[in-house]
Amino acid sequence: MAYRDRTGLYITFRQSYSHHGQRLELSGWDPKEERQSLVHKDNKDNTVIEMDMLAPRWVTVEGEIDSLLLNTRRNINLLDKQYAKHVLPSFSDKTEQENEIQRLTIQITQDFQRCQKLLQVTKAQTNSATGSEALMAKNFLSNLASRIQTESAQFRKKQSTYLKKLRGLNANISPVESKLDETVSDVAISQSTIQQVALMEEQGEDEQAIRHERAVAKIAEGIIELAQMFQDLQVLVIEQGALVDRIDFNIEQTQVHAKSAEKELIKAESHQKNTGRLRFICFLILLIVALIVILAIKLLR
Amino acid sequence: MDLVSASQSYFKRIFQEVSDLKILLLEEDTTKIVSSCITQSNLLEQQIYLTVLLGNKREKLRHLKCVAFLRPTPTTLRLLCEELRDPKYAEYHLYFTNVIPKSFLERLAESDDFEAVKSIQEFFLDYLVVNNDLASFNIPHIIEDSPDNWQDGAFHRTHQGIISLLLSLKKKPVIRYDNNSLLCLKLAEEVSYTIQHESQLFNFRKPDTAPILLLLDRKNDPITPLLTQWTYQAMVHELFGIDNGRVSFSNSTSDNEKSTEIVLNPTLDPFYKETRFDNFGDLGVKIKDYVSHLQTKSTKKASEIESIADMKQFLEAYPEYRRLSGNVSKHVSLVSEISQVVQRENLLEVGEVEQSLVCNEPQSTDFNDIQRLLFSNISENTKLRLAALYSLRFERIDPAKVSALQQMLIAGGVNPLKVSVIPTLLHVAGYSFRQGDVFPPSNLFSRARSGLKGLRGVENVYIQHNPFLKSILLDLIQGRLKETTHPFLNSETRAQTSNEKPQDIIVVIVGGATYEEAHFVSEFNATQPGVRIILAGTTILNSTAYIDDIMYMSTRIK
Repeated sequence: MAYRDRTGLYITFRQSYSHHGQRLELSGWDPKEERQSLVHKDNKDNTVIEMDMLAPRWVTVEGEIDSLLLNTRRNINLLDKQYAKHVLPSFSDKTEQENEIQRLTIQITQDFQRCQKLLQVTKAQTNSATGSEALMAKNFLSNLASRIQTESAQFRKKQSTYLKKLRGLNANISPVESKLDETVSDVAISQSTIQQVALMEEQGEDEQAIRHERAVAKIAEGIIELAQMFQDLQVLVIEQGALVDRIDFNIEQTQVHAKSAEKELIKAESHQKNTGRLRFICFLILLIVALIVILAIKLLR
Repeated sequence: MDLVSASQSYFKRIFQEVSDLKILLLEEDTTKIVSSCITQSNLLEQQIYLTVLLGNKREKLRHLKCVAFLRPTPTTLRLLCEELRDPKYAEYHLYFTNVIPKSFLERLAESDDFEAVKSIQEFFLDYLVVNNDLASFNIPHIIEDSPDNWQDGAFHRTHQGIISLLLSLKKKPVIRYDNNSLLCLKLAEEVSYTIQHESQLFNFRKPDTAPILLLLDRKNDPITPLLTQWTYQAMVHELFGIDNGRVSFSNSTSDNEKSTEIVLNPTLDPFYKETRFDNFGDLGVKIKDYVSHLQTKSTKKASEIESIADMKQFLEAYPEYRRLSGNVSKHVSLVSEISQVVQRENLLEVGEVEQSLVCNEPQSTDFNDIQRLLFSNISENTKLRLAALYSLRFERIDPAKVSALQQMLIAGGVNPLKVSVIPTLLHVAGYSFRQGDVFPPSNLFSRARSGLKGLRGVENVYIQHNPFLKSILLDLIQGRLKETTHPFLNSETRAQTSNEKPQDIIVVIVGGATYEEAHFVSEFNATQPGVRIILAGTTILNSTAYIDDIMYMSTRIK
């Protein structure tokens, strides 16, 4: 892929044109400037803040979500290490490890949920937006949603592998098995885990075992919550490879929207014009009636 | 030599160079180009939340940086100058798909009062990426008033397309062309001139064997675009038309008669990538496997799914799953629609007759077969195709029957205007205007061979035909392509390269390539070690488009 940068040549051309005096004039020193106050005293002379220079407020959400996702990624790495340690057979007490795992899991799940909440808030904020800002907001949300989805899907995959190991199920999942299987099974596994804990409690089993199983159930609950979140986000996400993922299709769509909006506008305009005319006619009729009445009164006298 | 990776690395570079919130500014032509390479979600990942057209009314959004991907045309220049006099965005990064003339730069600089332009670059991506070895310039008609005369716009566009194709692949080729085609000669001269003129751009490391740019004229093989196709990609294009990766077809099985639109993109759709060259029979088997794959996944993992309602619920509950099932149902409905059309148009019989017409010795029974089909219940287009193929085959053997056939077409209910396609076709691509023979030579040896074939039993009667391009490429790869038919443009290059076996070959078919040819090129790329071929066409033809083009010619040629 060859390419050629023409910026240098272009700038040479641009400098050779004299119109750049305009810019110099602006920055040139103006003696009046010395005596100008920072805030205009004269109220009539309002300073104009051009709104189109400012990015919409919701853009900052991206930074927040970025840092949350970064945080979760770090936590997931920590968790990975803990998992690796934990599944190793040993006789020492694992309570501390388990607590740490639980803490991290809850933290990560919460972070994901916070992300989702942020998205929802932003969505509510941008509902009132119009025109290109609305479109931009929609695309913006869709991008963030798909990023959160990917991250959380990875986390869930790890969690369910761990869960399977804990429950002594066949943990040797072949790598060819797609993410798909994971999703289907991780929810199912989590549900059965929770049921089992409930069952154990009913049967009044050994307290130690119940405590262990409860910890496991916590993880399972997290998975279910995240699966729920994944579903909620799906509304926003663009399906890859589908027609809505085509750039030309999206442009066509906006053009169709713009056209229909224009039509509405014309309709409204003509409607307004008509009402004006109608009012005028009514006014004339009333006038005529009034004049007739006056005439009648005068004639009667 | 991979168009997909070349185009994607261009976009990767664009996205790297401009950070922060961006708006993408396109025009109609580049919208098609961009859509053929990347997707909306690719854009979103790069913080491009808005895509707009240069010619449209737009709001001012000066908190955004503008990435413009445009073709260097006079219209673009005018619109861009207006834009720069009153900039709508914070800064402009301009990427042009081709070489920018200096005067163009000067006029732009003149309008840039606010110094809004931050960078200008040439990224040579002036073609549509169809497959990773197939490109299209998207020009439907190329001829002005005689079959040897270029339409100015089309000529310029084709020339630009070839230049950008060469630059994006980093090739400085020697040029060979169809000796009997003035269109190819003119194009070859112009391309060669640009290569010399822009020697700075074409300054690539010299490979051991020079790459070859082979310019071919459609008129030397009018057969391929007229045949019924039997491989997936070609079939879809023949029956519904693939428009830059988008296919719309009316779904007769569903309740509403509205047409469905789908996307077929080999880079995004692994099933399509795998099956696009499979013939219809194999495709059916693969589709069945694909469906049962979906079935086993659902039953194995979630055993509670029993009814269709369960299935539906299940799909709604698991979005990742839905992606796969969406793809499965897309292909299933497409293939079922294909088989509907195959039945409706009696394509199995039509295909058999066609293949025996173009692959076997001419026989008198051919006429009866055609005659029977012309009065059967098939569409106008299919009738025209059959008649055209017969006319090309029997043009010299039996001219009386060829003209009788035209009367029969009219009697069979074909629009007389459309029947005029046949004389035009013979005038443009008839025997005396072609070189080489698209039909197998008729001599004792070939007759013996076809007899042998009959004995052994042909593997598949529907796909016996090999496009003429195949034999040209085979000759070229083995260094046997004759200079009498495909001369070098510059005689000095001939001395060095005539006997070499080329490695990198770029074939451009003036007048349009077909998916059947693309299939063979892909096959070559997969089976011939050391040989890399890219195919490009002024457009990608199916029979409808080809007949349309001939119709267009018939109204223009004096």
